[in-house]
Amino acid sequence: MYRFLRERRPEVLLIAVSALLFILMAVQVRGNGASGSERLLLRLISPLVRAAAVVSGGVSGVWSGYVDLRDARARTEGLEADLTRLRVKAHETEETLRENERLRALLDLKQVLPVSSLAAKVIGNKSLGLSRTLLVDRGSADGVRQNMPVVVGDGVVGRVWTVAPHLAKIQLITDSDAGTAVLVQRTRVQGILQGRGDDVCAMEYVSQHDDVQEGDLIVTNGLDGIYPKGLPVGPVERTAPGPGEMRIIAVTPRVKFNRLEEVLILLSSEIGTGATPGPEGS
Amino acid sequence: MKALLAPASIVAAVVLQTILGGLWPNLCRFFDLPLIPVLYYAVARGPRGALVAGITAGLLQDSLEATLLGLNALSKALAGYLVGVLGLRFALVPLILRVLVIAAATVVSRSTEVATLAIMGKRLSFIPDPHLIQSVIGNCVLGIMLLSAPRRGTAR
Repeated sequence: MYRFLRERRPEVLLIAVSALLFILMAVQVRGNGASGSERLLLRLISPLVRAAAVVSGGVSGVWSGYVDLRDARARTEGLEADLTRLRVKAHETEETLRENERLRALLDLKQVLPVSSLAAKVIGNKSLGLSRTLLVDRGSADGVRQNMPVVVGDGVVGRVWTVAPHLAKIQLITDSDAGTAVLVQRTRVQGILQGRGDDVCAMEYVSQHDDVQEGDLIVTNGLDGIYPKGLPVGPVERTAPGPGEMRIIAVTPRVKFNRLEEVLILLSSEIGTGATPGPEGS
Repeated sequence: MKALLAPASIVAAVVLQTILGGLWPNLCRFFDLPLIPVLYYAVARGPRGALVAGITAGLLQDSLEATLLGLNALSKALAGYLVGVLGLRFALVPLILRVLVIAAATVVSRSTEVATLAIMGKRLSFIPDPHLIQSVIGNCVLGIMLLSAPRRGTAR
C-alpha cells in the first residue's frame, strides 16, 4: 500500500488535493457563508487583495483620466473651432452693422442734400507725396463727371478728378493742389481752403481783422462752382498772424479720409462745372 | 531568487488579470492569465509543480472573485496536472502541439469549473459557455506569446 502510494504520488496528491478542495467548497455551500478556512485564507491574502485593488484602482484611475483627457482634448478642439467660427461670424455681423450705419448716414445725407447723388464704394486710397486721392467704383457709365463733388455725412471729401467708365479718381480737399471756396459759419468770413498734403488744411485770404476763432465751423460757400453751399468741412484748429494783413488759419477736416469706405457723389448738373479745371479739362 | 520567480509570476498573473478585468471587462473574457504560468510550470516542473502552481493561482483568483473558494484552485490544479503528465510523456515543442495543449487545458479548466458548480448545486445548466471559445482563442494567443520553450519539456 505504501509502495503504491509512493509510486503514484502525483495522482494521490491530486486526489487528496481535489478531495480537500471539494470539502472546502461543500462546507461553504452548506454553511451558506464564509467558512473558517475561507476567512483564514482571506486574512492571509488580504494584503495582496488590497494591493491589487489599489493597483487596479490606480491604473483604472490613470486610464480613465487619460481617456477623459483625450475626450476633453477632442472637445476642446471642437469648441475652439466653434469659437473661431462664431468669432468670424460675430465679426462679420459687426462689420455688417457698421456698414449699415454708414450707409444709413449716407442715405440720410442723400435725403437732406438738395441735389441727386450716387453712392460709391472706395476701392483705393492713395497718399503719395503731397497728393491725396481716392479711387471709387463708379465712373462715367454711372453718370459720374469730372469735378462733381464727393461728400460723406461728416462733410466734404473732395471732387471727381478723373473719370473712367467704371472708376473715378477723387481729389481730396487735403490734396496740395486742392482749393475750396469756404466761409466761417458763425461770422460768414470767406476764404479759400487750401490742401497741404497732410491732415490739416489752411484757410487763406482771410484778413487779420476778420473775426475767426478756434472751434469755428468752416463750411463751403458754393462760389467755386463745385461744392454746394453749406457743406461742413471742419473746425478751425488754430489761428495765427500771417504775412502782411493776412492771417493763417488751420482747419482740420472732420472727415477721416483714411477710414472712408463709402462716399456720395453729387450728380447735379448745376454743380460740377466749376471754374477750377481738372487734368482732363486743362 | 529563482525560487521566488514561480510565486511571483503567479501573483503577477492574478493581479494583472484583476487589473485588466477592471479596465476592460469584456477583454478579460478572452483569456485566463493565471492559467498561463500554471501551464508553464506544469511543463517545466511536472505534475507536482503544476498542482502547487494551480492551487496557488486558483486560490488567489478565488479570493479575488465572488465564487466558491477552491473552484479555480481545483480547475487549475487539474488542468495543470494533466498538462504536467502530458509534458512528461511528450516533447511539447511544435507550435501546433502547444496550441492544442493550451486549448485543451483551457477547456478542461472551464469544464471542471462548470462541473464542480453543478455538483455543488450552484449551476445546473450544462449549456456550453459562450465565452469558452473566446477563452480558448485568447489563451492560445497569449500562451504562445508569453511562454518560452520550457527546457525540461524540450529535453524529453
